[in-house]
Amino acid sequence: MPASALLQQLSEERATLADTLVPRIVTVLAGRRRSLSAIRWRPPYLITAAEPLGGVERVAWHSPYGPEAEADAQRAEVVATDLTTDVAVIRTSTDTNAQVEAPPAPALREGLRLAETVAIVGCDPRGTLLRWSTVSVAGGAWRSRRGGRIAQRLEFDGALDARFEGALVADAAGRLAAMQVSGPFGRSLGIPAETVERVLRAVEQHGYLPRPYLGLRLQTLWLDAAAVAHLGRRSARIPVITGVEAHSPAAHAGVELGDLIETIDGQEVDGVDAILRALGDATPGAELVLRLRRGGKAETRTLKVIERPRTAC
Amino acid sequence: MIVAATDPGAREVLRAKVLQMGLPCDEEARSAETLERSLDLLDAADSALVVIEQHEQVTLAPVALGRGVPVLIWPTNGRPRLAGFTRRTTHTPGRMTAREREILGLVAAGTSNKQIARVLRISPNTVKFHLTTLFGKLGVTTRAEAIAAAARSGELSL
Repeated sequence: MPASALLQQLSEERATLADTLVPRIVTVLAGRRRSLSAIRWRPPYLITAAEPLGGVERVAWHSPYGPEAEADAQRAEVVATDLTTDVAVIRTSTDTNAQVEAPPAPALREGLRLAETVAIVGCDPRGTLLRWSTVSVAGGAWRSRRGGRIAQRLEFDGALDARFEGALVADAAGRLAAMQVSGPFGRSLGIPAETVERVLRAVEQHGYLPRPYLGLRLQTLWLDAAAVAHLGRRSARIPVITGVEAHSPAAHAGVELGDLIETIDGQEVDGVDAILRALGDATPGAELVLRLRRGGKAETRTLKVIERPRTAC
Repeated sequence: MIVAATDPGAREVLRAKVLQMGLPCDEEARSAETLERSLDLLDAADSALVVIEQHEQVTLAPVALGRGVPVLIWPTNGRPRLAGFTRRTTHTPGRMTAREREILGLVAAGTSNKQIARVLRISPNTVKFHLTTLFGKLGVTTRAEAIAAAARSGELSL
């Protein structure tokens, strides 16, 4: 096959793949000049990046078709913004006449491999955006600093601008692999489809996303080498309880001011961030076993996670 | 407001400048020790501002900044500037207002700006204003970072 024919074939294959992805992408208008991409995950839900939404409650959205698209923008409600995973769930009203029928639930792709070619498809008010990219980091499961459990560490080649926040990442077979978000230093990160599904299922179950709460205030202490050895710890950092909210799970379990938290569910914790992570995917109703150190003695307390009350601060 | 300078002349000039601006001059400090004492008297929770003569910023400013008290460095001849080695030293999380704390708690509960406005009976723009100030104080740019930063200092319960 001559080289030009190969190139032509590749080009057509790419265009065909893009055609299958475009119906799945819309643009979300959050505020006057802010637009970001969103994925039609499955009716009636759109998925986009939580952080750029900045706490808005209602957004307008439209698909990239035709010049009248913007005029046809529909209102939709942001039902959950999970800052720990950066996943926002938007519920569209199903009764309005959508310009284009919502595509059915997508085929999901788990476990992207290093160097795979991916299509990153987004949308702004003027139309579709597409970038071909390469999986440049494909690691294992990780915890975001905000406590979110993310199924796989994913980064893509090159930096993408804000319009690609919430864009769809598809593998070469057109399967939905991740949502694209901007990371630190302009990195292009992927939130795996699996993680989006986990958040979406929680929202479907409750209608919103309940946040876990224990009623603890904490700070991180630094132990000296002797104390680290005495307590048999790996880390010199240890969270100390600086406040227990009245009538909270922590108060009911008998947690006291000044208690050091050595482990949660048997895992050593090395500071407030570790607590944030441990709490990150604990759903209300779950129980956490805390091993505490009080006045030199070890104590064990079981705390029942509740939904964060609005009055908690 | 505390005026701090070792030189009595410089102290007098600073005092005059502060009063000229219509600000109260509660205390005068002539050394690091007297500054400590003045800060104790004024209570750290009070939003005391320390005005320091320029040549003494190295010796006197850390005393106040270490307690999270903002410092204004004012040369005896020239314009004042706000000191602070980072944004975080002049605005420690301890300086969060009750309203800001309330709003951050609602953000942590997953509440939207509009819902926060409804719960607290204030306008959504006021919510945004409070959040912007709060982000500045915590030295963060996002809602998620604000929650983590406030949790780390024990300002937000988990």
